[in-house]
Amino acid sequence: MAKGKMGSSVKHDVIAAEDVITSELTRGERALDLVWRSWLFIFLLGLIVFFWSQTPANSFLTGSNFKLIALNTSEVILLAIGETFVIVTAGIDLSIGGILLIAGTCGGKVMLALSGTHAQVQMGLYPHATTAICVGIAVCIVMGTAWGLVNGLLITLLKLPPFIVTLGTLGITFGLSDLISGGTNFFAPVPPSFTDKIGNGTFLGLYVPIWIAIFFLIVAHIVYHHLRFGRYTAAVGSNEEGARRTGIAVNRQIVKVYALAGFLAGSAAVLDLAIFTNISRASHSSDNLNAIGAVVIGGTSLFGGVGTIIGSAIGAFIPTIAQNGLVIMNVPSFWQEVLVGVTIIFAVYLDQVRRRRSSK
Amino acid sequence: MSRRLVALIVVLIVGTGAITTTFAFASSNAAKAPSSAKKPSAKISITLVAGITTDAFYLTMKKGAAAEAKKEGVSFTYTGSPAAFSPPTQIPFLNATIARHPSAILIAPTDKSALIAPIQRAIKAGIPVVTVDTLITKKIALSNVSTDNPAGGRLAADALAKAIGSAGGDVGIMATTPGVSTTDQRIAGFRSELKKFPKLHFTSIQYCNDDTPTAARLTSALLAAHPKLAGMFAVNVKSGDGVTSAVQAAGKSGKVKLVEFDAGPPQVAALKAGTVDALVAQYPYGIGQLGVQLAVKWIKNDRAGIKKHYGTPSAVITKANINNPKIKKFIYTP
Repeated sequence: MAKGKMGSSVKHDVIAAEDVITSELTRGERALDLVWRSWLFIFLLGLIVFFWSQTPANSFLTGSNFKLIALNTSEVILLAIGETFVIVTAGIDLSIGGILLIAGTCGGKVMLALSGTHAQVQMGLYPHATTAICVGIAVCIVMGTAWGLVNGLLITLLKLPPFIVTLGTLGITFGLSDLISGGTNFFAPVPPSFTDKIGNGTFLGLYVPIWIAIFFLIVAHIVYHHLRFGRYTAAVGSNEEGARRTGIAVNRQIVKVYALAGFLAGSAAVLDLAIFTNISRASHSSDNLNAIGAVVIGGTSLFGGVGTIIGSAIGAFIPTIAQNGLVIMNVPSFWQEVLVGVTIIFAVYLDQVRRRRSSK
Repeated sequence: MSRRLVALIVVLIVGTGAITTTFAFASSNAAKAPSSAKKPSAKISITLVAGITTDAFYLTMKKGAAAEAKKEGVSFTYTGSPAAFSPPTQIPFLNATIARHPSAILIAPTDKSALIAPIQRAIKAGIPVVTVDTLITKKIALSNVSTDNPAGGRLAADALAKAIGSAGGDVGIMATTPGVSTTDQRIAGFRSELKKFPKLHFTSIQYCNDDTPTAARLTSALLAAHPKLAGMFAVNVKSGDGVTSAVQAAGKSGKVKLVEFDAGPPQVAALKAGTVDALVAQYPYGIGQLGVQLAVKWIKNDRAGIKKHYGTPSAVITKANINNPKIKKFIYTP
């Protein structure tokens, strides 16, 4: 049993016993607890300060650079939010990259098919772009949610481990996407207005995908920390049997959580199409590991029951900031992988120590 | 309990320390590299953003660009994704390069359309851009330097026809991804030239996403599907490596004639061993040289003679001519 990260965990009835432990802490321990909770934020700031000091003036620490870093991180943030909910139930979703790819492939194909005749689109004309874009977005989201549902139903109905089910659907979705696309890119880019308005469009100085990520972050934070859905999710992951006995429909909750992860992967597919005008398998084969890495760095426990949405967002930023900073420093970007690996191990170690302490 | 807390604090400090040391080491490495970055206005600096940094083609281009940069007295850096040839992996490297603000950027765009907006951002930030090897459909780069790809494709078809001889048979193509300007043109050139040989029958084109193991798997499948397969054309280094290994594994070396674009070390070794019959080599070293030359001219305001496009030559390498000094300069040296 572990303790919810935010103060609002008082509401988590099932794990309320943990808060008794918190209240018994001495002042010194409470101070340490604060450091614990905020180590990631301190680490992020340290990283930024480090790169700032090691790069030429007006290169790393500029508004335009951070806007682009955020743009590059927006997709991972959506995936990491979904993965956070899944991991809080003590599950795992390896299939999100595949779901993203199949949702984006279908959505993009529909978008191109509805934009105009094949010949028109090939010449760069998109007479029915607006309708095509709306339908294409809907297809992405429906497709993503549907595959999430498939995951949830297989896990609960067949009582299979999430690791195996989602490993299976990862292969299925990758394979089906390649079948649908012929393993290739689209014959033309998605309508330029989609790219201009959403992918590279700006609103109040920030790129639209960043706003979309911020919107999902706020909603997910509220849902996770303040609404029943979040409480039930944590309860299921903390103690499944206990949750069942208190009357929570555990299976239905698990199905909903995987559907949510699928929905977010579908939404990420919309961003992918809008930003990159096309969708390619090569760049999504490690989406699942990137998202899981972000969630784990963010402080969500792989054993379930404990998680934070904001932590996952910060966790998503660490690899992209490190990559950007290292390139500006003119250091081989291979170091980024080393840094992220060290950070993941450190984050999980912290989680382990915390669990051992709180179970005393 | 308290001992544990002390242990944790120690871990926190040591962990942070370890990471910092890692970085300190990394930054000391950086200091050894040309560090004109500290005073960007003082010296001309040029960055090459490769399609995929680990490819022999781009590594050779890097050599040519670095040699030319040294000659011109400008600083040079090389960057790009080591993992994949795709816009989502390339764009973060371009963005970071823009933040670094070099005097000019040479880039091999990984997609005709996806890279338009990011390249536009570089130009907006006041950095001139030369596209090398591949291009984008909107003509915003100051120039494009690339192989005459349609001609290269035609050369490949001629070489394959010569290797197969009068018997004829089925012919397949191993490509990377559609939407990449260079390989699209090679394929178009190859297919139009192939029509001149009535005994050669085109079967199918496979896309391996610029991944060697995928190319090998697809080739194995093609070999099984088309027993009369007499020849294959592979459009670049990675697809060529996969085709070669699959044909070897199937024990069909020599029976299935292979012509491949590019001349990296594995291709040259395969050519010498007789697994590959001919290579159509581009001139990446020359592309890198010319790209840097054009960028420096542009920065020094000597812009009058710069054309929008420069084609660089390619050469057909066979076992017979590989030791010819005129041909040798086309072999890639990563």
